[in-house]
Amino acid sequence: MFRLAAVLALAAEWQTATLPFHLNSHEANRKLLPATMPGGLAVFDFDGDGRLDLFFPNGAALPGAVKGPGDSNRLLRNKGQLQFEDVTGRAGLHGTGYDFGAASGDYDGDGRIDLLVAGLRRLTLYRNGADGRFEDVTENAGLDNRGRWSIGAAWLDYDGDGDLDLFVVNYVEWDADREPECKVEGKPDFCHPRHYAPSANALFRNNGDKTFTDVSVAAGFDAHKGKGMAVAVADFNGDQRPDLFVTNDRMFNFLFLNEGGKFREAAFDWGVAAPASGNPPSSMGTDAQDFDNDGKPDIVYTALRDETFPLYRNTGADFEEGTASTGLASLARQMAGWGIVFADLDNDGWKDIAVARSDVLSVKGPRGAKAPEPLSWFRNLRGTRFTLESVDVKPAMYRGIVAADLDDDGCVDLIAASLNAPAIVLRNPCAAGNWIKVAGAPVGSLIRVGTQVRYVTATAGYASSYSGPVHFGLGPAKTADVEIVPPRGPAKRFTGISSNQTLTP
Amino acid sequence: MIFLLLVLMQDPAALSDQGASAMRGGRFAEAEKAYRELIRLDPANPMWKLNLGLALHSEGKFQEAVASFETFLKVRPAPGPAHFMLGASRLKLGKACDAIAPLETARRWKSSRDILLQLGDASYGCQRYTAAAEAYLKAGDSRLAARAYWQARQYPEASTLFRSIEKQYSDEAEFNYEFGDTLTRMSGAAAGLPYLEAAVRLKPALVAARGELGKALAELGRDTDAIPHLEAAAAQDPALLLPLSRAYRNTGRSEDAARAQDEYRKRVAGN
Repeated sequence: MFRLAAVLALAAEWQTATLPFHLNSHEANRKLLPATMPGGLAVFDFDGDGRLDLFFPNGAALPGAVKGPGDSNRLLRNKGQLQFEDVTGRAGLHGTGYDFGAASGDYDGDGRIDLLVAGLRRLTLYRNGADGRFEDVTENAGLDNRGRWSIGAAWLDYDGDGDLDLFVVNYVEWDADREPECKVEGKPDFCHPRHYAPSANALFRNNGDKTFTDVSVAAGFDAHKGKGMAVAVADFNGDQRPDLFVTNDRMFNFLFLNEGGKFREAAFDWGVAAPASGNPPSSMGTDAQDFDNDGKPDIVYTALRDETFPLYRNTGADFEEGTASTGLASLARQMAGWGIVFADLDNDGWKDIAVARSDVLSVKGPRGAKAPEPLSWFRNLRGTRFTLESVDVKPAMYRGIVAADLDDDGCVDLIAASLNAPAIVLRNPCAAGNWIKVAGAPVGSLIRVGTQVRYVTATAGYASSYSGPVHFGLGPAKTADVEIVPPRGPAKRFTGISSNQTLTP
Repeated sequence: MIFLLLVLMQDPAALSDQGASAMRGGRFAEAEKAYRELIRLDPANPMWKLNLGLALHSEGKFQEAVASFETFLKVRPAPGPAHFMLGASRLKLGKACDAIAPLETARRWKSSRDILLQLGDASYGCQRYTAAAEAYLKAGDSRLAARAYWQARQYPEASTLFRSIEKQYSDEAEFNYEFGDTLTRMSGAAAGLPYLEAAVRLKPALVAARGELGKALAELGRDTDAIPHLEAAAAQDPALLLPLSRAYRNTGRSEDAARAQDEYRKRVAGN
């Protein structure tokens, strides 16, 4: 009896495995800002074998931002059973510069998921060929970010023409020669964002012929300079068009409402420019999904210690901050976070929140001992409260995090990247609850399962991306009614679908 | 007159006595003169530099005192009182971060309460709040330690200490503000509210407390009660214009809400 109980207890724990990818931040004595910023990842099935693969962008030597040995970006092919094979060389995805984020999406509509890599001085668009190789098509596609520092990107069909356009999150203007020397407690450390000029985000319209046109000015983005850290895409105002929420580092956040080709910045009107305290925090990663099952996409984002992880309920006309009322403010008060995702980790039908934690300051600095933090997740108690759940993983400088069912057991696992350490997978113990997954719904679709809703987006938290089946926990329910509302065309309804399967309409 | 005679006689022993006597009597300018003359007469003896530094520090001539202590320590670097005085002088000059190292050295010489308090002050001034709290705790000053933990945003540690001294300091507005703010951040507005209310009652001019009280009341849905506090504090802290705007809006004062939000956007541009 004792032995059985021990085994069950063990089985209920999250299990950690390291991945064959080491993120090199290239932090040196001189604290160049890019060295604290990398760590995104992309989860997508690049070879169409039904298993989710992993891509990790990597750093490069600074200030030149030229990759050296060991700095390669990595594509890890999922062989099943949480075994991964490094296929970077065969795929041609080494990369050349200092890269931060990745966005997966089938921009050319050939059924294979392509990859956009966001970097210090350039974007790189890789077209997924039929032979498992990726081709750098950036130049031919006309993607020019004008030398700006991009952290991440989102694929979305903003103009409703059926192909994926590209929104790029740009951070700050940065020049190694003008990097200020900042000190914390008298010792060199990374500088506060106030030392850097803001930068405008960019929107590239897909011309439908494998090329893009920069429409940032016409769409209204050039007029709004910020210090962009992450983007969440959802239809916030229910007008069937994808909108954008962009976090800015110590500046007002942006809410860009899509008004049919042009975007209106409405963060103040909708109450998400800054939290209730009035102090613009170090807004970092973000996600937008419906956590309270009222059918409308809500927003959460990470920030640093004492700034909490602000959470907003969507009323349909604006947002109400729920950080304090849900208990998240108290739980996250002593935490600093980067990546953050809504995911139903316990299959109870309510989306929980997983966070990749750590501080922005150097581990070698005077406050370095407190900079590494563990991963955490907050259990959603029926959309009204959150409780903190522990994950037995050692503190590190975690950055990006993605929730994905890597072993196809119906429970969402977590994949996280951290500075100067191997990336990890946390295998969900999958202790309870039924589930259903919906595959093949295009980006921009709305999927309803009972009272639950998920907006299909390829963005995930900080500098990261997910393109794969959309997961719903069902609790004890044995069946579910599923509705898929694509961005174009009629909705598809399925009633009485048996649980614990992947629905591929 | 006596000093002049001693100088004319070039009698170091008498000058030394004179310096010591002047120090004891609080006649620091006279002591300074004596020690300067001794340095001229007997430059090989580093003790005159130490004594001169003490006199200069006592006169409030901290910059010159620092130079004198530094000269002494080049010759006699072993941990001792000169490190303490060097740290104290640097602290007086506002160079808190530079004061830490000599005070740390002085603590190795003698872990006295004075040294620990000075080290706490230096660490606090250098925004090394956790180190400050630890030094204050070792010095036995829970009040200062609690404040340092609060500044360090180590709310659980701060809360424990505040709770332990609550009876002693319940009439102090700043104590109630800091404890109330700590509880609000740890456990929500309802937990901190009584302390924030006490802080404002004890000292209505404590603007920071009024700001926190206003935010707490707003968080609890008491917008009408929150408004006067937020209004009072927003002049000093423009970030409060945002919760003030929301409180106006929630109480039907839409024009005031728009005006407060406009002002907020102008004054809080970020960073």
